[in-house]
Amino acid sequence: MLETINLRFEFRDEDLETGEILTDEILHGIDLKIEKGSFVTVLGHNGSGKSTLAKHFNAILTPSSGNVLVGGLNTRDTKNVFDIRKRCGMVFQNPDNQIVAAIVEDEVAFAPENLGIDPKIIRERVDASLKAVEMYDYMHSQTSKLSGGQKQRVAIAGVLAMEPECIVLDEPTAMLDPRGRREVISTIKRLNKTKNMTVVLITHYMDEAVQSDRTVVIDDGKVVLDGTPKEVFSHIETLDKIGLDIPQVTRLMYKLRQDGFDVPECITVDEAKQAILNILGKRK
Amino acid sequence: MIKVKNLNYIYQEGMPDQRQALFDISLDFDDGKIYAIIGHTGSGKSTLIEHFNGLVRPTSGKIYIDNSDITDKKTKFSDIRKSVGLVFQYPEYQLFEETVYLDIAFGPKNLGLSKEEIDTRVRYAARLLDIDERLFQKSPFELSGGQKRRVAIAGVLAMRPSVLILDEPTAGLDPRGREKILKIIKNLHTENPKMIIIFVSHSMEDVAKTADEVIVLNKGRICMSGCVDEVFKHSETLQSIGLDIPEISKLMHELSVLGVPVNPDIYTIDGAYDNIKKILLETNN
Amino acid sequence: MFKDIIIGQYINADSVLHRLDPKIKIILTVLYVVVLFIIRGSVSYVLFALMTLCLVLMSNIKPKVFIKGLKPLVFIIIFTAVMNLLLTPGTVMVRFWIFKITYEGIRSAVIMFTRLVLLVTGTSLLTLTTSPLKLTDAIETLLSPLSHIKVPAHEIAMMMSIAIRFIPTLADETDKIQKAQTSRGADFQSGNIITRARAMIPLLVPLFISAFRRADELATAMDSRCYNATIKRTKLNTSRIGKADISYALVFICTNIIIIMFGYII
Repeated sequence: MLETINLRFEFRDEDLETGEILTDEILHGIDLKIEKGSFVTVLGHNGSGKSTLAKHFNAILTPSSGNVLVGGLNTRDTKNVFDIRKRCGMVFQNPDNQIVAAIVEDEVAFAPENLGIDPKIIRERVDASLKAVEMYDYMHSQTSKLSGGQKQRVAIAGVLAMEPECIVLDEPTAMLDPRGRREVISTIKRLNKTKNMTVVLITHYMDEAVQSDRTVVIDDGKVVLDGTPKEVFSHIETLDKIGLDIPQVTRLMYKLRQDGFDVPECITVDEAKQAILNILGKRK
Repeated sequence: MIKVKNLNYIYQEGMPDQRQALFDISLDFDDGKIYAIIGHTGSGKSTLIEHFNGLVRPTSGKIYIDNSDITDKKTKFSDIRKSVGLVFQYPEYQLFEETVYLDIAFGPKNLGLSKEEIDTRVRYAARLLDIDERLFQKSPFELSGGQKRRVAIAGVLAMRPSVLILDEPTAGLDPRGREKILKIIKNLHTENPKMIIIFVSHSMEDVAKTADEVIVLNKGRICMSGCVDEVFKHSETLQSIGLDIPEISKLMHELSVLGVPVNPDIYTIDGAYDNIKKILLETNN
Repeated sequence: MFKDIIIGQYINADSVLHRLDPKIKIILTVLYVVVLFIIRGSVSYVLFALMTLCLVLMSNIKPKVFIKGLKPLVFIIIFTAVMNLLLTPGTVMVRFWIFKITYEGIRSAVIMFTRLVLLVTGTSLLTLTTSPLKLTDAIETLLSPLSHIKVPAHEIAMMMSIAIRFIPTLADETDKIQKAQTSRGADFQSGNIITRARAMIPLLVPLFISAFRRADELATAMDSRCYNATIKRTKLNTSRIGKADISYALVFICTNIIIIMFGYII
């Protein structure tokens, strides 16, 4: 679905006084292949390049060298831009700064309106998208009166109305409270499970990564770790060095394992509970 | 010390969208302790802390800071603000001066202090917040997100308040930025042993790491308050009002329910490690 | 003071006027203003005022709201009336000091007073019964023929609707920044005009910076949702002019023609 081939991106800035061109390479050659229907999290710090990477999937940015393919379309080709954006929608961090309309249904209709779709079909899409994010009852509400989690769900609905195959979310939960975060993550998971939507979630919360199929850790513009969350979180030392969070139970089990206890790697409370019960049962 | 007595606050009193935000809040804050206020959006946390520096006047009830009644109409706002520093959510959005130095100096300047005193205070606040003096002449808008936030907090700290209140100081930061802010709060406490530090948070893990005492607010009322160990014992109540409890807390609690002789009140990794290791060794023998 | 100005405010209610198509409403409001200035004779004015009263009653909005809306304009209305009263030449009726009040003066003062009150009431009717969003949509449709002569009708409407959308967000932000700077000792209230203007800097700088940041992010978000993908943009809710709208418009036009006629017959 999404593919980056040796993707490099450099930021160009002109020094106003000297006229000198300053360049700063943010992505140093990224190779990734994201399968259709998968739920991938990209984990990294602020400034690691993860948001820059996300913007490439939507052709907001194009590579300085290398290529990005979205459903086989190269983002460098300007003819493809709207096709790419239709196929791979994007949700941003700040809920307030991506909502265009004052009323929920107008907000969801914005993209299909831009595409010149027949109003009757737009109506169907708006209804279906709002149902998919469980915001149907708020159709006529004012967007400014919603909670952060509700705003982000409306933003997701706004992308769904384009009927994309893939949705890229750039830190959609960073500004939300725990309840809003839960709302957004469960919505994303449901879309992935029931609609087979390809999801790329950019985040710095490890508990969100734990819930995905695959986790890619990016640091300093490079892919550092890539695998299932369990594989990734088993690299405790690497993650500590980067300064990313590790699930508490993973760390607990790691410490016990270092003491010679026969416990497996765990990333969820349930796994850890089972592991401890097992070891106690065996000994008894 | 701060004493809150029977505080009630009604938002937009007399208007059609009138709503009571705080119900009969009574609290004591002792000098030299770190307090955490937790509760989700709409629980009244922000309204409560805005009372402490006079931005919001209570509908009824009293607030005493070091025995002076700040709810008294005769009390001047400027006096309250001198002793209570309030750092808002996303404080980096209030930066406005040309340089980092001038922005930190804005508060002290408003207090009418001498140039030398202002300079001492700016350097003091910058040091506590780990802001390199080489950044002083830079524009605050050129800094990274984490640096901006520290400059904004320094601007409040430079007023040398005896009470420092921070509304969700770690919101939106990545793990590294979050750690840094929590460490700074701890440092502040060591350097100013008498200062009362109150911070609002959603993260129980941050609270567990940093605070001495916890106040849990729910729907404008105090749901629980006490020392961290005490409050974390009630993990079921905390979960029932929609708060996330630390994973370790959840694990120990669930194991205990299943009959494993662990201590269900443990909420730190090290505590759980010692406890589980002991049990494993015992069953081994 | 600002809260008293009702032009531009919308009151949510259900009435014939609320349901009327916004495009028709704008056109009829323009017609209303034109008629108001061409009618002659006291009978016409009385009828026109009666018609306005009927409209106010039909709007399901308390007459109190309209009276409140006139308050900020009381000075202008009285000033205009007094000027007309004192400065119109003609048959002198009363004379005192250097002023003389003429028959024509009284007449034109009364007319001016009536006109201004009716003008404010009539135009308020439009904004009080039409939500700003519907109003922008209607303006876009009405302006769209002008896009042939390169008037950017859609862009104007888009700018207006985004502005409306961001009013609550920016109002909230202003409040937050103001509180934050107040806690840092900023004083927005005391001092003379210059000190006060200077005191606004800590409020305005962060507000503008944030507005620019928001604009930038919004533009990216709009791009990513295919803004400008096609010239033929469609609309989810296109208000169709229905039978009820046409009948209302016809009744309104007929009433006005009759009122104008009265002025010339009698």
